[in-house]
Amino acid sequence: MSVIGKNTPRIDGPAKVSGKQQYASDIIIPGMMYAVTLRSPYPHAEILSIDTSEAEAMGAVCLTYEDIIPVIYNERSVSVPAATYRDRTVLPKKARHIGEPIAAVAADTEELAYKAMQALKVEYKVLDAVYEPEEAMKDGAPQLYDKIYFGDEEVIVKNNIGVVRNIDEGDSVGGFARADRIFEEDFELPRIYHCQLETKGCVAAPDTEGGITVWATAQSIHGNRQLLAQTLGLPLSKVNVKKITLGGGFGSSIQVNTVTPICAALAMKARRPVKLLSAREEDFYSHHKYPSKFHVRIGVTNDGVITAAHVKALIDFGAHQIQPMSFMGCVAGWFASLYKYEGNIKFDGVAVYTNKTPCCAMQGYGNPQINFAIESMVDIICNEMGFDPIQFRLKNYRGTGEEFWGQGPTIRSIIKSCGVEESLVEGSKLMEEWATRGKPEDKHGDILTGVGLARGFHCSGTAGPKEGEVIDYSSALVKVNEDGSIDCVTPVMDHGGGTWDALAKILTEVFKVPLNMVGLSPADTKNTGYDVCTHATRGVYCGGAAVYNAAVKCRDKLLEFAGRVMDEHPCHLEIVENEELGQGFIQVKGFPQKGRTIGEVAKIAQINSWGTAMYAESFRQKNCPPCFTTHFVKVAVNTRTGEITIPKVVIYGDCGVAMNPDLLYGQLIGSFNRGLGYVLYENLPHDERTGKLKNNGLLVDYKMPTAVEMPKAENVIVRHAHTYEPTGPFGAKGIGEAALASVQAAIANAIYNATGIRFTKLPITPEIMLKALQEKGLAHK
Amino acid sequence: MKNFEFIKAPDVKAALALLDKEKDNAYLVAGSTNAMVDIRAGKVNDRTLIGIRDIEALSGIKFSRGKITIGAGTTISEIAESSLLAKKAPVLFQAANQFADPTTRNSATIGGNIANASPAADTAPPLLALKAEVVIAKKGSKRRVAMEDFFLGVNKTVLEKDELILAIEFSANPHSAFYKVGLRNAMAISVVTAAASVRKDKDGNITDVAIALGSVAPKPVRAFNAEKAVLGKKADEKTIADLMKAVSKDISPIDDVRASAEYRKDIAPVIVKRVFCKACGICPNEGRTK
Repeated sequence: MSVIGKNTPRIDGPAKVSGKQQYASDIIIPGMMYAVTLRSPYPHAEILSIDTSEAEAMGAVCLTYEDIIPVIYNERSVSVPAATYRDRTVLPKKARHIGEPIAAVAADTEELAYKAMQALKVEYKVLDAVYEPEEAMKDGAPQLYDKIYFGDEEVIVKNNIGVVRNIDEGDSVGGFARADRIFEEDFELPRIYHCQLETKGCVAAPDTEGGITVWATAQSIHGNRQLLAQTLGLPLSKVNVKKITLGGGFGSSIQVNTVTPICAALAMKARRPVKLLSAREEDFYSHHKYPSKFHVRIGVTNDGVITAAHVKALIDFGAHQIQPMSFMGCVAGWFASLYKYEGNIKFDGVAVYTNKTPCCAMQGYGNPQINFAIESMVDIICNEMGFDPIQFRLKNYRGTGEEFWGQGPTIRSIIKSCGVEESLVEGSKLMEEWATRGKPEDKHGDILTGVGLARGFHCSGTAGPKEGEVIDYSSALVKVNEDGSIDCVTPVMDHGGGTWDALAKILTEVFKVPLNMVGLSPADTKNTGYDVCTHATRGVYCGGAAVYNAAVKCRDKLLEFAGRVMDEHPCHLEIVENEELGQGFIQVKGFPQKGRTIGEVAKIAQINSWGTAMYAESFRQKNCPPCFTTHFVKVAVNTRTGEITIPKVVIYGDCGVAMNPDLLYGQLIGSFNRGLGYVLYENLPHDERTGKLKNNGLLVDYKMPTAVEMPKAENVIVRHAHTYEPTGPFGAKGIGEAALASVQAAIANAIYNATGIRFTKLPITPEIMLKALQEKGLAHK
Repeated sequence: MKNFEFIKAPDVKAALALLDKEKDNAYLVAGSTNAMVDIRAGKVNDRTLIGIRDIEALSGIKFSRGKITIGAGTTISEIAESSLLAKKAPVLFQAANQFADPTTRNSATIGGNIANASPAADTAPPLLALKAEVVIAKKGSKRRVAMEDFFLGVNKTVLEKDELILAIEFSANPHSAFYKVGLRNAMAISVVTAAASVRKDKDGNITDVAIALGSVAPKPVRAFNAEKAVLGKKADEKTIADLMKAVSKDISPIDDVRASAEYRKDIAPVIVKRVFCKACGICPNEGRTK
């Protein structure tokens, strides 16, 4: 029986629940040293000197700017080099944010390393710092950089402006002129933290041939290898990065983590294995989600057609570029792909350096941010002009046959599967309160309830018919063993969402074997072809497609062997399931009387020295299909304390064929929880005096919602749309990032429905809610 | 990784002797749920941790002649699971059940919670509302301090450097209740907590009342003005309105990373009303939905 679309226990489940799963931090090598980093206590300071003598006298090996090869790079290598800004080195000469690693020490024990780190003497020249993008752009503001690089080209940085990105398509002037009404609003979303379970870490072991083997928290082992080779000055063949389970990503390891090249350089200098793990307090200062400010303008006709839209974006990306360039392209793309706007769109984006933690991808890469703005605008428009929110969306959304921007303006493909209509129509029935939600002005009492709706999506990968700014392909090797079991070697990473289970299921479907007859082999950068990264919700759709492609071509070889064994043309053979035999059965099509098991054919091929049925290839998808989500959320607002609870939610996901519905639902529910945090709880304010995070990097003052803040299990209603993606492996698309996209606006729209208060700035804490209620005269005592 | 020495004390006598010897350097730990955080945050450096977790004599809940005695080393879990306290001192039972999360409750102790003297200590308002007494020992002597006098300020108590809390004692009062507002429902330091205990005569007049709040002043506080507003009266709508008005005179909250002073001033009366009504066994006039 096919396992595609069926719930099956996670293959890595037993290892994870029993604590036996190995992560980078579990790697222990005889003779290994432990490293700690010295992190800048200043938001902006030149490092005049670092005296390591005392630390070295304690037996520690130290790494400072003097020891590294001054390669200037960008930690994220997903975009093509020509579209990548570069501004950093392994260790800096100048600290640009608090918590930036400026030196590292390794010693025989963690304790000694810590003491040695304290013995480093650093002479700083403290500089003025700047924290807000508006301030940073002013003339005379402290400058983080004089020059950086774009591709190979030197760029002079003026007023801390890192990237300007303007996109203009169609005729927005004409579009706005045709509109009967124009709506305008400002939106602001906070800086937040990934809080992935596993903090960033690395173990690096030099070998006797001058090479190095590395285990790191990584979403791409090849991305890590390339940067390490560059920063260590080694040929790629001397650097091997091992694929190892990642304890959660959310985008936090889309780039090569800052500690990884430091650890590798330290190991090379010490000529001993070195382990460097980040404490949570350090991880808090490593990478954040991009805070975003938008000014949105949308034109609408009286009959409910959006005629044009204009988004201005101001992005504070912190002290280093981890690709605000592609981030802004993506924001423009998510915005452009939500509705048709009669093709008239304009985007003006500015991204600015500040003395804060650098921002990197985090579940959605700008999508949750811009979706909050646009889906709030749609709610405003519907309320003001009296449109039905579902009908208005159905009239204006981009669906089957329309163009979708999968990763900014250079990656586009045509939508071939779409569950938007089903999600909106069926979802509204599942949320029974939707029809009776009423208007804010009709609501009374201490507890005000409301229902909100928003829809969103994300791309499944970043491939398109034409190559663009982003690299997208994966590699896989598939081989048939002599007992009919299947091995697969692929560098594709799993963040914990179940990507590896999906890859295994794809193999079972191609070879018609049970799940226990397939396995993913240990993989590293030496034995696999390139894989860009598990990001952009591409794991199953793109990584899975690479496995599917290699499996199908391996199957062709196997059928060729089978043809020889059976004296038939391979084209007349097929593989069918045979539960009794417990493996795939090759037969003449429609004639089961003549057949052999996969294992028999593979064994005969081996005995006759014909070879092993195997195939390895890289594969690029030609589409970036959107996976859609829709959220109907019910909220209850306590007018005495401002507390907001969520009594019920309906989540609709469209991922094409769900490889494992339970894992899909897990992602949708988990992401709703993360969205809840983004809207109601999380924020990372900085102390303007010191440049420190106000929570000092401590989880105790960074509250994220737990299971008890969620609606009761029976009131979390999850469904998936009945769609089939024609270009996906067995009809599959992605879901991971889409699962978050529309949570924010749905909750904010529900709060509006409950109270008549429109929040355009997140988070909406009880305190902010109560204040707004007081201003509106709605607060009770 | 920070440095510290660790010595495990086998009994009270040994603990007191160690305290006497180490003096300033001593740092008592039982559940270590505060100590580990403080060590990680660099607030506690190079101290001698004296472990008292396994001292049996410090643990347990006893009830005799209307008095409840809780050993200082009793874990919050034991309190949260005590059917005796659920009946005889619901205010403390409820607080224990909202304390952090189950894993922290398994480790944290009531003695540690009050000795740490956080303005947000979850067991402090209940103990204040129960008019508890703290039994304190040092080498060669013992003393009792009223809960009300125990806290001096943020992380400051009357405890001397060589002293150890043995137990906490109070009279049972089934008419008592606790309420907490945090930034989320678990593992959250409170934004405001309130606790109340009342006694009524047979006509329903309030003959005795104690109300306490957490996170609204440098230390957990009794709300004497609020108490005055209800003492000798019936718990009717007017009394409750007076109570809510009076609360503002009892508190002096500050802005911190969790909430502003203003927000705390706004919600403290609401929370006090809730606990008072709950302690009186009446349903507060809220929660209606239209």
